[in-house]
Amino acid sequence: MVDRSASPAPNPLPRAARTIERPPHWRASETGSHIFWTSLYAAGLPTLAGLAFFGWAGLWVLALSVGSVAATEWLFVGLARRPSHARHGGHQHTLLLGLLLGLTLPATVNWQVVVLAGVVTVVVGKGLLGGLGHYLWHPALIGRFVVQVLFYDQLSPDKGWLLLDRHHLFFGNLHNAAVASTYSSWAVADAAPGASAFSQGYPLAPIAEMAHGSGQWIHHAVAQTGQSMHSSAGEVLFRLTWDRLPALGDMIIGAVPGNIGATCAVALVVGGMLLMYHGHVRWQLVGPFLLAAALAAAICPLRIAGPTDHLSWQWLPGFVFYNRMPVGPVYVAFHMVSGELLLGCFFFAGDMVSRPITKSGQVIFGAGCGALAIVLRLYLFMPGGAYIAILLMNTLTPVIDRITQPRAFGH
Amino acid sequence: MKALKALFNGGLYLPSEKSQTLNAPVQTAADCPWLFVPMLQHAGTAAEAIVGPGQAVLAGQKIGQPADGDSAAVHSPVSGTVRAVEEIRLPDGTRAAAAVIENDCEHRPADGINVPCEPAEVTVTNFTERFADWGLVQMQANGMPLHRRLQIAREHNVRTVVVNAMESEPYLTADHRLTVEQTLLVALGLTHICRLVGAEAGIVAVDQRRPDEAALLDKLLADHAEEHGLMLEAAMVDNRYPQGHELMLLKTLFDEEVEVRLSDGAGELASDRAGVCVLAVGTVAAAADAMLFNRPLTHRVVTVSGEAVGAPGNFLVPVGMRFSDVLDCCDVSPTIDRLIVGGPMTGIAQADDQSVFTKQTAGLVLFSAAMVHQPGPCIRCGWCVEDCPVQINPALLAGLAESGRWHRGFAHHAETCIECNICSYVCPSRLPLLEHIRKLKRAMARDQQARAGERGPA
Repeated sequence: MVDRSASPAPNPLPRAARTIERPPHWRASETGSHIFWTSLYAAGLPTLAGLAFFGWAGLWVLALSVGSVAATEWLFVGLARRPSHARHGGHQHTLLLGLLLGLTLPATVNWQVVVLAGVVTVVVGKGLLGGLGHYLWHPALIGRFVVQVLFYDQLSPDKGWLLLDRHHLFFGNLHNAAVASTYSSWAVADAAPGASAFSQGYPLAPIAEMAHGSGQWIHHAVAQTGQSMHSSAGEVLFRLTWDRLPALGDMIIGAVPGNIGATCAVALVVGGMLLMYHGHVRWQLVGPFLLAAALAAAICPLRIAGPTDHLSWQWLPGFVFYNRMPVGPVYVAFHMVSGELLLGCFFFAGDMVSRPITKSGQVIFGAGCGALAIVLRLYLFMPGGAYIAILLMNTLTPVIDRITQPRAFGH
Repeated sequence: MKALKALFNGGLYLPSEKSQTLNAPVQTAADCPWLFVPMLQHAGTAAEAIVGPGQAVLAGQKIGQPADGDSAAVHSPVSGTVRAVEEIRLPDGTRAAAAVIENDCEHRPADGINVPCEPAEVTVTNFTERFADWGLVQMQANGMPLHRRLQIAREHNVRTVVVNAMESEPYLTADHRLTVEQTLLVALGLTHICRLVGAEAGIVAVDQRRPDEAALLDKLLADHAEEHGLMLEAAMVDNRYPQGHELMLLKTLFDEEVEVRLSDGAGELASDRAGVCVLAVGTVAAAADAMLFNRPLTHRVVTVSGEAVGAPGNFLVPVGMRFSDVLDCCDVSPTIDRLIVGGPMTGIAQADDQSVFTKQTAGLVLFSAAMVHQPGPCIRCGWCVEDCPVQINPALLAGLAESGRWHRGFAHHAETCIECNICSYVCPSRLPLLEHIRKLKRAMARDQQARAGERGPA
């Protein structure tokens, strides 16, 4: 400053500015907490659908999951002394992790499973791997993966899965369930007298049955055509899509058993649209993801095990027309709307921290996730194949980032 | 007249916030009793003061002599008495000697200025001395003396001179008012600068939202084009920020790209290698003023705006005038959160209003509402990469700078950064990304120099 005592110029009372900061002096309005809030309210739609179809049991799992994640995070942040955690959406991110974790679990799991998943999510998935902004794998998927390995029976497709009937939405008791004697579609079926829920098989379990030859319906299908296994593959696929899988409409509205937030395709798509509208998830990720999944479902050969250990493969199942019925396209549609694929696509693959940062990287990442999800579903019969596919692709994120650096101006 | 879409990738349409002062004619700022005329108002060497305390000066009288080829003269904007030569702090934080002049408010001009002259007297051989003598500099942040700039353009045999009337920073309207009110000066200035650098074409890039300005310019340019055998025209250009940058104009006007080097600073000089020299509209008008009327560069048009200013406007201010003297007549709110020299995207925040206008000050923007930007962890949203106009990865470069791995900046083309600040603007974690990239570039430049030094003696 001018040394005013020596200067002949008078020194008026200066106006002082409160803030002296580097440019830019204004910022776009969106902050980290906005981003996580938006994800939270977008995830509200599948949450609502989950509460409708799984009632109090679903709410209990979600509350436990959010609670255990929040409590662990609070402890962890306290022990690790990270006071900056609250800034830039640390709290919102915690809530979001808890909610997303709950959405990937069935409403029927034990409380110990949920709490363990929550603890693993925060401690291993988020905290030890660097915290917000640094983790490589989506923390909630880590939590879910660990309990899937440890408590396979609770999450396996083989057990009976429960679903509220249409007269007991939101408030029914999920555990007061009976196997429905006749069940064609959720929209017209009634639970047994006194019961408020159905007990059903896992929606995509018939695909595994077909591959293993364990379902009686395959024998019937083959017997009915009176032909060899090879020529009866179309009939098997027809039986699969028309008889064995749930009604396509049920799968779209989410009236099928499954993980709490992963059943309702409509809610997931609308929620995903919200994220895309806000620019938090780009079509460059979602588009390739869904396209690759559809393509993989259409071309990945389908294993059909016949009655006498006779094995046949249905090549290009997505293009099969049987008796002029679009069996193949319907089969692909089932793959697309079976929940965990869409939940994974919009809410887990779209997670900013664990996906590649460039748009071209996101194309590769999305396509990889989509194709892998179908491959894992078809050949390893994993429940939640999409979640594992996303974890695998998360691992590749640094590599994808490295090979897809943008081309700088003039280079 | 061309209307052009922005051809570069990335960029953003910022809120323009110009409506308050867009149609406000330039007012001459009220006389101020004291001026502090800095000897350094350009990038380069400071002028040497040739006046001392007690000496009477006239308006337009030279008070600072160019020290070397990288320097430009300084003139007194007013008549009065020099009271001291002392060191002051300039708006960008550097310190420089300044002549403290007590204004007698009589505006007595020095001999020979404000008289019509023949611009043809300024020729390719003598423009260096003449321009330095008139104190002509590039009237933009970090601008070098105009004669140095034109020498560089001549060395590269530029074929086109582009006058940048885009003014892509929000709030600022000084260039727009200057173009509207001094259209003829801009046209004549462009004509003569084309002649001096040996370019055969001249283009004035105008914001596409101002078709009247463009039409007027186009007409005047057409009149002078034939006379001088030049191709002159106005082009309406899309206003996506940072369209006003040299390289973005190069891309949009000619669809050409050029590799940026570390020595280009923020890419300002790179376009010359593609045969295009970009000058700010104020620079061109000042050069015309000097060549036509023998007026040294002592005044400039600035915008005073922002939500803390009750009576915003465009002012013609003498260089060396204190900010407080202008703010006194602008109905400024009593609490100021930020006082910014330049626009809100790249301008420099001031602690108080005691600094002075220089030839490079485009305006003052004042905010009263407090904005707290505390940085958090990068959440890899990728918006900085998506919106970067030169397609580098600011998030990655910031990480390199923070961890000291600056040698990897070369592989990721950190030198290409044009310092538009979009990355920091969009960052939801409020990270100072541009600061990190600047740090990286400085480290890279040091490294390059060290290596050049190793090679040199051997």
